[in-house]
Amino acid sequence: MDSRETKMNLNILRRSIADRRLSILVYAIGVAAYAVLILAIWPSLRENVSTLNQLWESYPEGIRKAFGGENFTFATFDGFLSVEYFNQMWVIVMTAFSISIATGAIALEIERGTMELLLAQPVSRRALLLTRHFFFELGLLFLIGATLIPIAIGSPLVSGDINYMGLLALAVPAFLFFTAIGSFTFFFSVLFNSRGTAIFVSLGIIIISYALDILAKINDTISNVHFLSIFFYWDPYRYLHNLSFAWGDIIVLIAITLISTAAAVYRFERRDIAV
Amino acid sequence: MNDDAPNIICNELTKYYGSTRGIEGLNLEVGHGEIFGFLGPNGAGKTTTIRMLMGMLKPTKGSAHVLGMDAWREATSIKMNVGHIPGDVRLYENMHVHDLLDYIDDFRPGPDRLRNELVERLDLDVDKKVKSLSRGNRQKAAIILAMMFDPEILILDEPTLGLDPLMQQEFYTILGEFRDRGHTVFLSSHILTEVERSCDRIGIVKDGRLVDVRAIEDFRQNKIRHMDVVFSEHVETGEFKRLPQVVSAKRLDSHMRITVKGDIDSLIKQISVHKVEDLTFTQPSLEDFFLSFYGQSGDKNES
Repeated sequence: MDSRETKMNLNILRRSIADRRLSILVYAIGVAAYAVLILAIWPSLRENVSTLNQLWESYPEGIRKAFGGENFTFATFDGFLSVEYFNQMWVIVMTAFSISIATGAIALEIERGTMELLLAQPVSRRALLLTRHFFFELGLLFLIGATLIPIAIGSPLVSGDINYMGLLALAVPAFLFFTAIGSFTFFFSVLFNSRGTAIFVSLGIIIISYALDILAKINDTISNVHFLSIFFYWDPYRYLHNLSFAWGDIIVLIAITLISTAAAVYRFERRDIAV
Repeated sequence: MNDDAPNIICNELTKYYGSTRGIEGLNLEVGHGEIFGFLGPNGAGKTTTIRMLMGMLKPTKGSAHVLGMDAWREATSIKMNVGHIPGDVRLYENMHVHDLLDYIDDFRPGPDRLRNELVERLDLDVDKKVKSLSRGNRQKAAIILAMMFDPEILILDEPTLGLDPLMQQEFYTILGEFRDRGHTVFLSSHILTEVERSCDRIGIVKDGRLVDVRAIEDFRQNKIRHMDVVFSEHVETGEFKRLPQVVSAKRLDSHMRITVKGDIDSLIKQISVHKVEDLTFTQPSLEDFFLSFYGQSGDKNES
């Protein structure tokens, strides 16, 4: 096989960075600004921890399990971060980024007709897809850095009792979690001629998955299918507080990424490109 | 690859979209230093064929080879030496033209030999953004993108769409120079005059099938044309109907319409016997063409 068939294409990587640098910067400013906001409100909330915990304890057990997790407490900064950021807004922003990049990589080019121009050049479909996938991973790393670095720098300033090893323990599964989401979105990006359809299907799966995660935590009768939700493998409080992640979760996330990417390459190399 | 082998070979090339026919059983060879015109009405299968040659579509049956390589399986290697203009040109709207040229140029090693010359000859402002370009200027950009690296083969789908007549002429001149350097051009069109003025051979496709391939000279000799003549005096149609090349002669209001196939020399001589006030040639439509060559169904035996 010609090396052009498999190697990443630096020309496409450079172009992808140039095209998306502004939007990535906006995402980065957004996640960093929200992290700063969370840091800023922590000192005032910490003074009312006992009230918050009383409020938390007053919620039904199912709700507490759904949004907090086992042994969760507002008394710690990592607990506060988990509930107020890494289980809510951050997941939404990072998911939006993953879907945006993955559907823009292939489906949008097909929809706009520019895929025909790109594939008229000596670049294989596999190299194109893998390069765009690599670009997506670079973007993820950048956003994770833009989130965690302000927290690492800012938490001592607001007396946040964060452990740097906890941030590292969160960074690894966070990267793998959103890479997995992006990877199956890449598959739908390859499958459909319209970006809208690819977004609709990917987002639909993520919403259903999120709903399943919540319901499985509340309702014991469906807890045995909890593992079908990708959010089953995302537990930021555990990473930040226990400074560890489950290797089983890591393996599942890597498996989703590899299988989805292989399926995307397989399909992309065989599909017709027609405007 | 054998130097004498044709640059493009289609062998029973067939494409169906589900149950809808794109092209069926196409057998075709295009050699070195040849401009081949692929002529047919809209929906005949021209774009489908070109997309298979470019490795965008997988053939349902048969195969296409370009530069000795399989157009589907070895698409990446083929494109080192193939330039392409799609039928519906889509470019990156937010890029400046010069950035787009740089981007596409970087896919191939070596200098873009013809870039500056083409930009100058086609009079394209490369400092503009793509989204601000007119239809014609987008087409010019697509032409430069396809030709700037001086590829061995050009595969062009309706390449002059949107170009004004002056630019069309310049484009045909550039194509001629390209052919003179020994390169190959495969060009699709539904415009008779376009293929007639630029091609060495034409293949005629209708309803998904190649119905004929012939040299342009043969094509010209059999081409049907309408001549509208206004005489100063009364002239009978019979004297023109007797001429072997004249298909028909009818009196229409103030003028006579004479339909002629092939050589017009004897007709011109006969007309010049009379005093002529006005004379115009009407280029035949594609429908006239199919009627004259193959009958309405495109079947040659019916003519």
